Amino acid sequence: MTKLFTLFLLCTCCLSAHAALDPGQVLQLANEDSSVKVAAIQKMTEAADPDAARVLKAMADGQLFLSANKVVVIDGDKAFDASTGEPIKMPGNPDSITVNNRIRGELANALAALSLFDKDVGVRLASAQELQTRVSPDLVPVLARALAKETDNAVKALLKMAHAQANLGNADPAARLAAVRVLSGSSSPNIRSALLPLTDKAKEPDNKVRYGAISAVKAIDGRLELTENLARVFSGLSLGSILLLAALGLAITYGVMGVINMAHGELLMVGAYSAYAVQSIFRNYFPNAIDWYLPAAIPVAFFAAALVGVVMERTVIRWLYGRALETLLATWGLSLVLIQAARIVFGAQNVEVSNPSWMSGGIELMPNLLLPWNRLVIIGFALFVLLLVWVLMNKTRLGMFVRAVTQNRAMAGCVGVPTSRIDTMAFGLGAGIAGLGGLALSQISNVGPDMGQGYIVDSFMVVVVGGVGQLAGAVWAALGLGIFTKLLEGWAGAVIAKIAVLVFIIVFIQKRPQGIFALKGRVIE
Amino acid sequence: MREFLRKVVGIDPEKCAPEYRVGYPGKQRTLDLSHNVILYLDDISVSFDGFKALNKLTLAIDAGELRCIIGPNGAGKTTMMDVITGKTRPDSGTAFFGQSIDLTRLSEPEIAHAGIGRKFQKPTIFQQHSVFENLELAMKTDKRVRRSLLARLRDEERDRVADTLRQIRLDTEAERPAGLLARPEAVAGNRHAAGAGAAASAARRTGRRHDRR
Amino acid sequence: MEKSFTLRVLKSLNRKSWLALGLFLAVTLVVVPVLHLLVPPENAFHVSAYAITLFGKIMCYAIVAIAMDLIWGYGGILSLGHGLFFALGGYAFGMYLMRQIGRDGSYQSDLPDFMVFLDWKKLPWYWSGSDSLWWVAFLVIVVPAIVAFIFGYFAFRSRIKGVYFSIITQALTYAAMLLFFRNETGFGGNNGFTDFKRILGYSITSPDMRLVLFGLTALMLAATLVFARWLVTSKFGRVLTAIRDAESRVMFIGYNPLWYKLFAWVISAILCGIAGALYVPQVGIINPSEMSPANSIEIAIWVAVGGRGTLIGPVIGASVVNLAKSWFTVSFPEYWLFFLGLLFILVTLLLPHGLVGLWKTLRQSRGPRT
Repeated sequence: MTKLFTLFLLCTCCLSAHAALDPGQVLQLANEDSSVKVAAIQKMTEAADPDAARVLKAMADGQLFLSANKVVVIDGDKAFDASTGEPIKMPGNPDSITVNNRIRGELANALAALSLFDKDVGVRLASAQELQTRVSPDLVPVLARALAKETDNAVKALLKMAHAQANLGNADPAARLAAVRVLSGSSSPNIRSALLPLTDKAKEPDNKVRYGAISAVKAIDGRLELTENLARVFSGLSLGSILLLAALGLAITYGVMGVINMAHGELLMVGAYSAYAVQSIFRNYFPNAIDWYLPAAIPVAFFAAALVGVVMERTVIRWLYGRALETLLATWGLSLVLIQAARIVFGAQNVEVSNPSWMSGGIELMPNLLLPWNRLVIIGFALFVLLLVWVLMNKTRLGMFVRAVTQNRAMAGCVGVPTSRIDTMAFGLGAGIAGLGGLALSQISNVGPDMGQGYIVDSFMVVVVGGVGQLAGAVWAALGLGIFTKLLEGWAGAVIAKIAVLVFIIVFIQKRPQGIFALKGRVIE
Repeated sequence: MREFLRKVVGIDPEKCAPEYRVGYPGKQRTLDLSHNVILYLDDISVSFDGFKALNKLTLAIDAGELRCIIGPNGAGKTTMMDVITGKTRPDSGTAFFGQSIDLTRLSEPEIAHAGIGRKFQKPTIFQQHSVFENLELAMKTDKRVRRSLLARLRDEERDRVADTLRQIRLDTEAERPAGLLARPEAVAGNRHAAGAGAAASAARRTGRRHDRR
Repeated sequence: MEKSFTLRVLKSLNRKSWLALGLFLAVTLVVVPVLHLLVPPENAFHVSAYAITLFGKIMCYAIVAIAMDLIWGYGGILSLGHGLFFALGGYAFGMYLMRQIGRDGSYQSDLPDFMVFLDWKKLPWYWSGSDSLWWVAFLVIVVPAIVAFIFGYFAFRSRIKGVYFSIITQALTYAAMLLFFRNETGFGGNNGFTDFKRILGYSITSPDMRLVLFGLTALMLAATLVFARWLVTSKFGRVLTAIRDAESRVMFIGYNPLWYKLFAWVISAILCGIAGALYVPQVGIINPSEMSPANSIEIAIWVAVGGRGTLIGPVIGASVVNLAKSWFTVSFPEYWLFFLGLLFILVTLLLPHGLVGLWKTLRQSRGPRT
């Protein structure tokens, strides 16, 4: 049945393709009065004539001219009669037809409505998406026809919305009510603003329709709030994963080894600059594989940062074990040296590290809720690094040695653990993890000599809140702080949220100085 | 015996009356000895993350009584001391000093003022301070900030420190930093090494408070 | 009592120290003004305005360094947030300086320029009284004291020590910096306060005013030294160092470390606030970057370079480091951070007692031979 119907429609379309447009109607497009123009555009759209599409397209492109009371299309050095589409002689001095913004909007909608009958599903989908805002009531018949003919479900759903929106201006209250009912299922802010006039008594006389509109707006609000909150939780998760990446290395060096490393942020910076260096190498030598520079940078970032870490440990930190405050000052000095070194090698300006193409774009879960790929990849990467650290610390011999040395250095030495080498390796490991964190940061934030400074306070907060020596604590603290910050940002603004989080942490530490997951116990003095 | 009592609770048994004032002037508490019990622990439990360090401990010590607590590692001796001196709060149970002073509600310095002192497993002395200053700090006196700012040693206090120094035979070392005494390699002879410990215990003695662990 | 107290303050310094202090005051209060005002600029002995501002600034830093030393060197508490107290004092006095601009700002309004820019119609409540020098002088002392008291009370009561304490002080100053960066906070946002015109109606850029500020700073530095000396030689000072060395033992012989630490902490904050108030009119600007964690941690290195646990050490350290800074930033700006970084590393590794400690060791090793 549908097939037959489609065939019939196609035939009529084909037939009408040769039938010329009504010249009188076409002439109205050139009228001085915009309203007359709009009326003409709408009339032509209703007819859903491919020829109309041709003329309207020309009009939108500014190729429509008036010459001797005849509308002509002038494309480059060729001229056509607008109503018949036949080539004509180039007219002498054609007057251009003004297209103001109102007309332009009308034209866009008209063209979209016309392409609803395209054979290609993709074109139909695109035009249906186009028709989601400010649909004029005059499109109702076209949309109804398109809806009846449409076979694709996605396009159909969109068309229903467009049809209902167009019907909001219908004179018949019953039709408006039906439209409101359909639209209440939407979750788009545009449809919400289209419904808003109907909730006003002055603009909507019919009570039923008005109440329907009010409850529809409420339903949409509820859904909008949900997506907004979901978006906040997601960005919280994303921030949490970033904090986690920044803090995981610190969870080893500070949390497990007890070394307070103020140069931790600069180890992140080393990782980020490694990404930049690898990207530059790929650009210059393997431009075809540029999308794959990121995986190649993973080992580079790890080992570059680990190398810096090992050098730091061997030259400075080793001599200060057990003197936390001195370590703090010396590592701060190291951070200054590293920052200045980065300035001299890479310049004081931020360098540009671009996302590989496979990381751009995102998944659209709902209208209004887009999960960008780079954020998703970083969340995944954070989980991967977390797993790596967990395996290293709990399932390998090195991890066992590190834990042994940190618990009882003398005893570990007695059973033959090379304590000083373990210190170096553990510190190198922590530094390498920081390098991986920096690599991830390079994908979403600026890469510059000072970038590490911004993370040092945050990462210490994560480790301190999570509890020293607790990987699980660091994870929960990072995610908790991330989501908490983003939710606060929602109603207080970014700076206030940041301050509130810092104050919260200060208060929190007062209450639980050992962090969330600390073990209670007898401290031997 | 009498000597030890003086050390344990800072009380001279001869002067022991049913009511006894303890603490420095200005912040005194009443030590009520009407039932002749000086320390009373009842049903004390302490657990660290599930590990029961003390399980319903009950202990009463009479005024004038000397008790030694012994036991294997992990028996809870130190935890008990921690509870008595305020370092650890019990999960349940009560700890009273005399009849009226609730030890579970006082902070460590307040308990020290009330008259219970303690010494740690590791010898702790103030290494940067001279031997004399170590004793001065430990001496029983008003220990609030306001007093310390303007405090001067009275002659009788100075004499008491000097007496103690003579008693522990450190009078010749009074002005040396105590840290130097604690390092046998820094000073010749055993006398000094032993002296470091003596200095610490003398500090306690002048403060008249002491516990052993 | 009163007399014996004065006597004890006098006695807390020995004759040589009093002599040195007197010499210092003579130079700063007499010689420098004479050389600045009476000796013509082309003479080699002329002291330039630049030098006076530089040394005035360094003396402010020296006061901050002594304040830091009181709690770090003597109390064992490393603060990474002392820049906050310094800046609070500076901002409090800056409010007065902003009000003294009067209608001479670029908008010719009674309100400070940045408020006109933000379209504020009247002063916020916390600016009330800021046109009175006395009220502002009161604020300079009280605001840092209150902030320090509240923060310190909770931190010390929860027995937060060591690195934990250092890190949360850093978080504190960081949070304050973010707060002051906001325009809505009412302290000029990013740009802070600048373009000061006068104090008590006298021009702030006149040589006389410059010398008055310089002299006041010198007096304050001398007073700080005497006060700190008296404090650390009192019994309070002995208890404070005892807390640094063995806190739990101090507790079990009956001193409550909370109040001792808190007192030292608040005193230290007040000294920083005063130094900040003296600093702002001499340098002519105060902005939130004074509160950045990097600035606060630099204070620690002044103390470490000079030698903590001594009082002359911080003064020497603050002078040496800041003279080096002003030389480096002019001659080799790109190497200053290298120098500062290496200073941090080398001092902590090789000179745990700072320059004063080095001097003492040298004198001791030379002593027996000569």
